Amino acid sequence: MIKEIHLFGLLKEQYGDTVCVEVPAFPCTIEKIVKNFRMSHSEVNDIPFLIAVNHFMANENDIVNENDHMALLPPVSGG
Amino acid sequence: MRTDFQLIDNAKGFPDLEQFRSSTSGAEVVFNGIVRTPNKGLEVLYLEFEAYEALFHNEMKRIAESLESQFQINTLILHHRIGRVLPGELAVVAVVYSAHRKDAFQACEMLMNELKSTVPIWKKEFNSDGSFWVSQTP
Repeated sequence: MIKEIHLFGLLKEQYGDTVCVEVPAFPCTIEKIVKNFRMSHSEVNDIPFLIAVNHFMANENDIVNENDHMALLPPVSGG
Repeated sequence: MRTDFQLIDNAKGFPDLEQFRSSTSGAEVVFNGIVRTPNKGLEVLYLEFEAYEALFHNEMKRIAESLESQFQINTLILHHRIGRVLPGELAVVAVVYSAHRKDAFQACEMLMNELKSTVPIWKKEFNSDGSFWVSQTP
């Protein structure tokens, strides 16, 4: 199955607005999705990022379903 | 507490503070963030700001609730530019209205600290030597 992930900032510049990551099934932990994303985009390992699900901050233990909006957030720098 | 959080794509979107003033707020603290040049010895040509708008509003709501639990605040305002901003132009305006100055000063400083550490806005600097994404947190 495929999970679409929205990207911002440096990640968006490198990979585009979204990437698709293979996952075994839904629901799936963020940890698993991130692991698969890193495996398929090995050069991303140097970039730290946080995760948002359905427009709220999330952590790697949270569960994601197929229709949830998931985003990766590289270091912020407002102001 | 009244709040006004906006992402704006031009300088006309900054707040007209007259509408927020009231007799119950003895203090109005305003922070104006301005694009600066030079930076690290290089001439800054412009900054490009990008934001995740839905998360921006949720994070600002969370920050406002946290500030309200710590300080007496009547009104909290944050307007941030997105897109290209030139040196000398305003990038962000943060305003706190409170009955007293101490709460207003402290809340405004904390608001800016939170903005720089948790609010989903990204900044790319274009300078005389090229460009780079400004990284602060995580």
